[in-house]
Amino acid sequence: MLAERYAAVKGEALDPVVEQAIDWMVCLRSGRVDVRTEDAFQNWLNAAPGHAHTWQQLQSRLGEPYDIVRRAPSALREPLLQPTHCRRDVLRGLVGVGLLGGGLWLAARSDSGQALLADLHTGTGERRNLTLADGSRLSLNAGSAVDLDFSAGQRLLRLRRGALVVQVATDPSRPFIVRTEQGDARALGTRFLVERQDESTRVVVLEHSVRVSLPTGSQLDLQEGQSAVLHAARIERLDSDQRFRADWQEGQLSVLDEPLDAVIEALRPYRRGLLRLDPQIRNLRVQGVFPLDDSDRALNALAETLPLKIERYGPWLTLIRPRG
Amino acid sequence: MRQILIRHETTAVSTASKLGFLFSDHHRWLLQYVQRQLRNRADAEDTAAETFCQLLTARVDPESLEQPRAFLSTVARRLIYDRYRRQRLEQAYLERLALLPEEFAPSPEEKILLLEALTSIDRTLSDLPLAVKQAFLYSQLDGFSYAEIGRRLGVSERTVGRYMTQAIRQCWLSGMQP
Repeated sequence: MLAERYAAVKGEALDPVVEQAIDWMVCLRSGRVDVRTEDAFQNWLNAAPGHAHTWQQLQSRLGEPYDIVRRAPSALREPLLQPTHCRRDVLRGLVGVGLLGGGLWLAARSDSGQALLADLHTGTGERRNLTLADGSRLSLNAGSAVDLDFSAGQRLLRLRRGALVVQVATDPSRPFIVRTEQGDARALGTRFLVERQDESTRVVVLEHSVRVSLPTGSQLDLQEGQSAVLHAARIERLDSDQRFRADWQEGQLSVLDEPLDAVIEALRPYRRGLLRLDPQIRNLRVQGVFPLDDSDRALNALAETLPLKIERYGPWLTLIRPRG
Repeated sequence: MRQILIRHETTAVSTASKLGFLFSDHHRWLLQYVQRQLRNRADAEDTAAETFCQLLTARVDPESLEQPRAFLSTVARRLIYDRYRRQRLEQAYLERLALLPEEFAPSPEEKILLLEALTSIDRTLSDLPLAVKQAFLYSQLDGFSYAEIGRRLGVSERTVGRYMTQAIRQCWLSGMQP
């Protein structure tokens, strides 16, 4: 079908019935249709079963998206008519997709450009343990990036993506803060985990306590074993024990009843290439402990316990589909 | 090079496993090809993988491809261009949304539906000249007669008819896509 499309775009002939249906549609929309034309159209429609079928198919291709746009304020359809660079310019790199302004979505999507500029980062499948200048111990999960900003007044760590666990060295004169887009987690002498998610940040206290806060001023103190999720406008306290979230430090992914897509998200930083989950099975519930450093084994384990199959196509494409 | 795992029980070589060989033969080349245009490793990998995904979804038999690299690069170029267009469209859409008076603003769900609809229409019409698009949208969204459209665009009714044929043809063809 793909081949057909590319061939057809070049102007090769379509099926004659399709051509006829298109001619009819162009004719009927002109605004100059008399009774004779309408009769002729009816005759064509009834002349063969294939005619009516093709007509219906053609109509369905002019259906839903247009209905939605038609109902919306007309200013919102203007983007359809904005001039765009022609394909050749885009493809020659003359427009700078991913280089200049056009790179916005690329950065937003993968963050990897940004992450390469960060002070500390880990690549796919790579975890790192570091000792910071103040003696604090920092662990970075795979696919993570952090900026360090230590000054006389504070120790600030900006988590740009991924997850970290920090064991904070005591220094009463300089608070230790991990900051994300959503807010801050301030150590009160402690070990804790900070993990970025799409639109939120998870904080889990592994030892002692942490004070989390939002730019709005709201804050919450968390004790050992407690955890919270920072959203843009609120702090959500989690009831269950979340300490297993730090198991990646030992190369393990522990899952206590979570949807499959969350599990796949956690495996992504450990795999190169595209890992694609069929939307039909994204909400399958998963339990278990999976090895992060051998993500193929983790996927096989999922396939053994859940109604899904793993299809691997070379090193950089893996599809996860419903079985059967 | 051939380090792929194929788990198909059938003895006959299935289309899927032939695709597996196609990947291992050409993925490195395709990745380099895409990277020259995107200059971002992660996005290049995504696009290259997406290219194979498309073949898979379209059930293209690799043996029917005389020049696999030419074919792969055509699909990849299409994907890169689609990305560029999607980005441009989304920006323009958000700008216009921001200008809309509060009482006309769609609900959050409508905003998403509308963006999806615009993206799909934009993709369908992407290869058409601006005047053809404009004529088609006047007819399709506003129900204008060809006389009215001709007046607005400064062309004859016959020309509007030709534009319509071109646009509707394109809509038919894009329905063929996986």
